[in-house]
Amino acid sequence: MDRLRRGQPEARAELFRRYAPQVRRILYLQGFCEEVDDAVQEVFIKVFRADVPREEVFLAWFYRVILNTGRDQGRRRKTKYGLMDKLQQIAPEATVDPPSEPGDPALRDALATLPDELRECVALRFFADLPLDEIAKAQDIPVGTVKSRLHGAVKKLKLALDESGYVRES
Amino acid sequence: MTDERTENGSQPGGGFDDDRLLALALGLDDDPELLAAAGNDSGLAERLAAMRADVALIDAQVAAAVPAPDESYADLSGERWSGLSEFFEPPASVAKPRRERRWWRVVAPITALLVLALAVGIVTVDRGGMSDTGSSAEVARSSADSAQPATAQDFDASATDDPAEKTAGGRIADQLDRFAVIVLARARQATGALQRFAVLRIFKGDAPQVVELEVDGKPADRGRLHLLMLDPTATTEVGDGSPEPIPSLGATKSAQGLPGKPLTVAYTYGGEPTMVRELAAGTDPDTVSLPIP
Repeated sequence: MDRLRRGQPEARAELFRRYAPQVRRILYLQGFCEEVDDAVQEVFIKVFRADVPREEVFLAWFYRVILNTGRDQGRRRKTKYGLMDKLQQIAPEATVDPPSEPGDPALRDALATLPDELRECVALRFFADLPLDEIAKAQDIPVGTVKSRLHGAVKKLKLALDESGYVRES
Repeated sequence: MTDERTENGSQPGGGFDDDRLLALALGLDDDPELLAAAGNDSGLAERLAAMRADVALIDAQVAAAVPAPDESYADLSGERWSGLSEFFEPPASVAKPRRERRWWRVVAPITALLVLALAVGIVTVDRGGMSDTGSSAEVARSSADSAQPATAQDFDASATDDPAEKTAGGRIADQLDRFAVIVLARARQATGALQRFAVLRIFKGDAPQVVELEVDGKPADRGRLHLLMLDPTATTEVGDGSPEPIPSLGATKSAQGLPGKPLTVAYTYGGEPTMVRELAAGTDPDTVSLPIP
């Protein structure tokens, strides 16, 4: 972390290699498919140009940069995606790395229609595997709100799978 | 999915609803009371196990919907991350031998003075018959302006009382007025004579998310930010009343002061001439501003 704070190129490269895939997935779930690599690049430009905070608060700060970049991109483009566009963004067919097993369409629909703040919560929990308190710091909300968001999001996703008749393999 | 009911329709472990089970399965609550009850109630234990399986399934489904990129994704040697290359290069200021640094301390100020004197001389000659020559302050300002063409800048001419700056700001505004659409965009890979630019910000007019330009020459660097001035609105009149075309990229003296540097390549958009200015690598799109209301 000290090397990163001093701006050492190796430390930056290490951070990039470690987190770039995760950053991509978070931004992707925020709703940016086509230009997601640009957004990933923008995140790291901001991080490398910033005064990197001390280790105890680094993760929350880093994920806040990611979320804010995603939100800024949305505002900046003034995109007015319809539902189908949004689904298409989340659907991975057009990406460079198609999934080995495509996700259930009902769940993709449900993901696409989740409110942004709930989707961000899901991304931080499922992709970044952040503990609740770190999610709270990244989203700048109380831990209780994180719990209710996660609970609400997963409940909706579960309901979508239930209603689609998805059968779990036993 | 989870919905295991007994024959009479009630759920086993009826004192605990699905919300509480979900909270435990998600790790939101420790809930020792529920865990203890599940230890004594096989029906409740099954419901809890099913809820945990559902959460794991949702986890897998979310992962399938947004898959992890392959291992080569973060490979910095590829062209994909060329916009970040400056951050991975060793710092330029490598410690030099003391004698060399001392020599540089002596030579640098002299060199700077010579350059300044040369610049003053050029400005004086350039102004020829004008009654007054440029002051050193003007020259310094001019040098500073030209020395930072590729960084994000603020061009609000109204923020200064200096008439010279107001004039420069006016020239920039005039230049911007000549285009209906002005956007900040990131260059994509060129394909033959076409190059696409992903629009990040729209300063003026209306633009699609991706703009495709025809390029006659070396295309812009992929991943680099560019200021695109599209769709010329009008032409200026020359002496005989015939319209003068929008100036070509290489002859945009009045565009000095705009962010970035002009590309010496002819771009067209929909058959119309286009002005393209390249910004410095690593420029934050949010820091670029133009004097457009």
